[in-house]
Amino acid sequence: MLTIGRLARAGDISPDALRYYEREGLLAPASKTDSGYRLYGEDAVRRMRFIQHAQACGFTLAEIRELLHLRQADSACCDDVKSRAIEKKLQLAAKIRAIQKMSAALDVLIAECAGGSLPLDDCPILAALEAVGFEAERTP
Amino acid sequence: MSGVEWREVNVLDDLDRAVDLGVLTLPALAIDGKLAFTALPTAEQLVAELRRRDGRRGDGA
Repeated sequence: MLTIGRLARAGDISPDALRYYEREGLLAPASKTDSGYRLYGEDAVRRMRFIQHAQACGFTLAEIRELLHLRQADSACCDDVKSRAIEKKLQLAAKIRAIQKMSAALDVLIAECAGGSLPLDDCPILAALEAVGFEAERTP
Repeated sequence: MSGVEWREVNVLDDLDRAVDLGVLTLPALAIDGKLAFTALPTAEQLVAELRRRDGRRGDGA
């Protein structure tokens, strides 16, 4: 059995993060000592890595909980997991596009400003941010 | 209902188009190039939606 400290070191995360996983229903200790210390089984290391890897792929803790449930569901198959992976990719692609639009809007603002020591009342960036319909005008 | 053509699309083959349409969950269904259902509709829901659009066209809308 592993204490929370040993498990945390194995995953290079903090004990607080493990307690948070527990509160989120992702990783529960197998038992507790008489004095209340959490004890984890060897499978906890695998489960913790699963959670970390899924987080690195952009899955939220709620989505990871679903994936963990799927993994144990008799009726689930590869397609169920693949669908979730594709949906996550779609969400990431949409976020990337939104960020690219933000970046392009900033490009326009930056190009309009000559910088220097103009007073802020004449700042074209601040003026553009105040303008009605900024988003529609500036983003492609 | 006549004149209905449908096509199944693998979003991985055209991720940009899926993002254009606003597809975030699967399966999704687009009608006339617009996202119409973000989950698989029942046959009744699909027919109702097609009829609604068909009626709008008939009204000249």
